[in-house]
This record gives sequence, C-alpha cells and structure tokens, in this order.
Amino acid sequence: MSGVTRAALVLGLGFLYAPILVLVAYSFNASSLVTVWGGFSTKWYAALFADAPLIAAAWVSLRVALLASVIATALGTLAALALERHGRFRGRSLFTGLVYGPMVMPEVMIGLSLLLLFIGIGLDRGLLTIAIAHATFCTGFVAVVVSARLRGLDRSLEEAAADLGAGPLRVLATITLPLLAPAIAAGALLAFTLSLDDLVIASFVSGPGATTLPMRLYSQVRLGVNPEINAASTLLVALVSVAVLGASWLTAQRGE
Amino acid sequence: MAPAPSLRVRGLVKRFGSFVAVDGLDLALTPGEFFCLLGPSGCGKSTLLRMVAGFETPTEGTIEVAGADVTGLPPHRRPVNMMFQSYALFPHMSVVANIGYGLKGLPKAKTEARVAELLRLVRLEGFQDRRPDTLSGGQRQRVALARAIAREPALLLLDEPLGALDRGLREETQGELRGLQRRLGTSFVVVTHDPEEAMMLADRIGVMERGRLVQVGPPAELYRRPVSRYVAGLLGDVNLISGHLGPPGAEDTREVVTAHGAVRAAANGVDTAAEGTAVVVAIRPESLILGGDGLPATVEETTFLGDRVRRLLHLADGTPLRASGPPGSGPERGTGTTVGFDPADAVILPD
Repeated sequence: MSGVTRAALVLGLGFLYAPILVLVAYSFNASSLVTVWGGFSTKWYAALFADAPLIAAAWVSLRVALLASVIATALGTLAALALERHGRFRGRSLFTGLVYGPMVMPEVMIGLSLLLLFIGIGLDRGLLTIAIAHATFCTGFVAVVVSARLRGLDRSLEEAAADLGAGPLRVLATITLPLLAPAIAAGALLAFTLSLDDLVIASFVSGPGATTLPMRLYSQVRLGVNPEINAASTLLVALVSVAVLGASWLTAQRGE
Repeated sequence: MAPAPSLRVRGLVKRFGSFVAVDGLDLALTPGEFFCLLGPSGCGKSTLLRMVAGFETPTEGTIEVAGADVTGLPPHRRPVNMMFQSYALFPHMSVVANIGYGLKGLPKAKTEARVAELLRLVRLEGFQDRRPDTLSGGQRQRVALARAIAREPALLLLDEPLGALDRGLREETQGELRGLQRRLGTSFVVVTHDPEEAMMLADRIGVMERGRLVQVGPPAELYRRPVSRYVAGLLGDVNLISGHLGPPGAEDTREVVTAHGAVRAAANGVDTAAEGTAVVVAIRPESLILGGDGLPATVEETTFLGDRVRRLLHLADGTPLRASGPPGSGPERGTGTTVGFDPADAVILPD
C-alpha cells in the first residue's frame, strides 16, 4: 500500500468513526464539561443507572425491539419463502417491490402514514404501535437476508426429503428451516438493532407512556449535552455492534 | 398373468415454453430390471427421471409405477425413491438420521434395526454419528444409496450415481451397485452419459437423443445392431463405409454397392427400402478381416497394444478404417491389403 492510499484509508475511516471514538472517550471523562478532559472516571455510568426515566426508556426500547424483531422475522421469513420457493407466481415482481419498499421509503413518510392509520382505526398509541411500525420496515431487511440464503440452498435437499415421503410441512420443519436458521437469526438481530436505534418513526407513533431510549436521549440533548448522554450512547453503540457482528458471523456460517 | 411393469410410461411429453425436453416417450420396465438411460447432457434423460420421481409435471402422457397410475401424485406419495447426482445428504443430520429420514412412522426399534441393516449393507458400520461433510466422496455415495433404498421402493432412480467419483473408485462401485441391485431385486433406472458404464451395469439400455428414445435393448444388441450412426458411434469405435442399396433379397443380409465394390451386411430394418437409397455400412474394428476377400485398402499405421494390435487403414477414396485384432502376423505399415467382414457382423444404417 502506498503512502497516499494509506493516508486516504486513515482519513476515510477517521471521518466515519472518529466522532464515535471521541464520544466513547468523553463518556469516561471525570469533568462535567463535555469539551474539557478532567481525568478518567466511570461516574457517568453510575449516574446513568440511577437515572430512572432513562432506564425506563431503555426498557421500553428493549421490549419494542424484541416484539418488532419477532414480528419482522416471522413475516420476513415467510416473504422470502414465497419469493424463492413458489416459482413465478402472478404479481411476483409487485410483491417483491412491496416487501422491499419500506426499506427505502422516507422514515418521515412511514411514521406519518402509520400515525394516521393508528388514529384512523382507533388504536391507542404506545409500545405496541411502535413495535408494529418498526416491524413494517424491518420485515424487508429480514426478507433480504433470508432469501439470499435460500437462493444458495441446494434445492435437491428439499426434493430429497419429499422423495423420502415427507410432506411439505415436514420438509419445511426438518430441512428448510433448520438450514435457514443462521440467516433467520441474523435477520432477527438486524431487525432488533434497527428497531433499537430508530428515532424518527418512533417519535410519530409513540404515545404518552412509551418513550424509547433514542427519543429520551434526543430530548435531553436539546436541553444540553452532558457526559451521561455520552455514557448512554456508548452502551448503545456497544450493544448494536455486538448484534451486527453476531449477525454477520451467523450469515457467514455454512450449512451447520 | 405377468406381474405389472415396475415402470410404464406412455406418450410422455414435457415442454418448457417452446423447448421440448421429452418428446413422446413410451417405455416399460420388467420388475427387477436394471435399466440405463444413456445420452448426452440436454437429451431429456434427467427430465424423464424427474417426472417419474414427481418433481416435474408431464405436459402430456401417463406414468405408472408397479401398475398404479402416479401421474398426478406429489413426490412424497410415490412408491419411488431417487438418488441424486449431488447425493443431497442433509448436512445438519448424522448418517443415521439421513438414512432413517424416510422411515418415519415405523416403531423406533424397527427403524433402528432397519438402519443398522442398511449400514451393514453399504459397509458403513461405525460411521452412524458422523456428519456428511466429514465423509469421503465414496462414503457419501453409499449413505445416499442406503437412504434411497431404506423404504424398499418399487423403483429406484439414480441420477449419474457414479458421476462424482474418481475413476478407480467408480469401477469398483459399478460392481457393487450391480451386486446390490441383484440382491434387492428392485428395478433400477440409472441415468448416465458414460456408454461404458451403461454397458457394464444395464440389463437394457435406452439411448436418448433430443427427447426421444432412439433405441432400447440389451447392451450386446445395441453394440451389434445399432439403428443409427449416432447409436453406433456412442457405444464404441465404428467404421462407416458409404454406398447405395443393392436389389432387395429374401435373406437377412442385403447388398450394398460402394465405390470400391459390392459388400453384404445385415439388413437391419432397411430390407424394404428402395434400391439405390444412400446408406452406410457399419462394422466394429474387431470385425474387420484383413487379407481375405474384400475391398482394397492401405495400412497407414500399426500400433501394438499388448493384447491386440490396432491398425489404421484407408480405402482408395480416403475413407478411414480402424481394425483391431490379435497380435501376430498381419500387413505392415505402408502395405496394401484387403478388408472384408462377415455380413452378420456388419449392419446397414440410413445415411
């Protein structure tokens, strides 16, 4: 690698990750001034766990993410099976677009349209509506991950099972799903992560009792940044990193 | 009454869009028969196999297995099992779980006894808990075979069963497969593109070309009495001498007038064709007799191969000929000779 490409790489990665590293470093700052280094300390983490509204928001986020990822994983897996294992049915292209669409739709639009829907059908806004809203755009991500795996899966494995007397449901339960398990788990982790750090859609469809962690952090930042926010963000970054690494590790797994 | 054929196919057609993969096929297999479908890739042999197994729906025609119409049945309801070219072993299951997969519904003790019996049959005792990816190619092939015969199918389909094995192992496995089929008494249908393999394994061979069965018969019949140049060339070296049909006669043989003189060969279905029709005479290298009555030829090359001698000759018009015979005296390189043959060893084919 020449000096120029090396410098370009460092600059590029620095541009992407330096702000996060600074944030992580300042979460261990003993000073209460965000921009002045006052020595190493973990006191903001202690303060964080004593901050009841923040902990409550974290619990809401976790519950929303869990519920949303379960719904998205189920729907996304079914969508992938329909796309990859049911041949060229009528409206297949349209269906593909409809499944993948919410991934690229502006979040403001998803949030607003769902808000109008929930008001229209009289569904009280809260934890459930956030989870449903998150599931709508996470489904597409799960479908992408699972259908990629399904495409690479040797069709003759399912045919061999059918040939040995297994009906469609037994083939699905004993062959297709076990072989898809790593991709399904990766999709679930991805959905969990996406739900965990969403702010825009959650802001539209949440109700009085349901404030997610990103919403809580955002509202605090508007009153001024304190090191406690840095600590909370660091934990969030760590959690998301673990989930994403886990997802990519699962995706790289072979048939086992 | 004779037992129902293990497989009967009537008027089978399969079209993919405008492409005709299988084009009006009829076939009946006697129970316990070892049948080979032979043909180049794309001739429709695998499509035929997949229709019998139930993975493709025929466009037209019917399929009967052991006397029962299975045309409309899904794969899991057919008394047929298939061994896949890729073996299709379930990677997340042990050898025992793979072999026992088709035995669901049997009591546990019976399943275990049957799997143990199958492991013995394919000589894989001690491998029961291994995963497929820890096995060698030959071992995987045997697991696939054991799994396919576990349900005692009326008919076993094998798609290029030896295609993934290397040469030495392949010959050994051919013998084993043949022995296994005799012991089980199950009808086997093997798809292969290797003529030698087909001749070694099969009771009867069906040669497929562009979706049709062009000839069906025992290996020796296909070798000695091919119906076309394609079949003749597929099953081994063959010499072709072109000419025109002579006058029809009452005998089994008929005269063919070549540029070098008249010869006689087995009529082989062209006995009613008009005099003067363009034909070729096909003779195997080992049936050419050098130095007797016959057509004048020149020896171009002589190759000593230990158990036999191969000679490359040509007729006056340049038609190349190959002769194969026992080592010993014979015309040398560069000398003139004559080539003849017993009319029963040669066959007339449409040009």
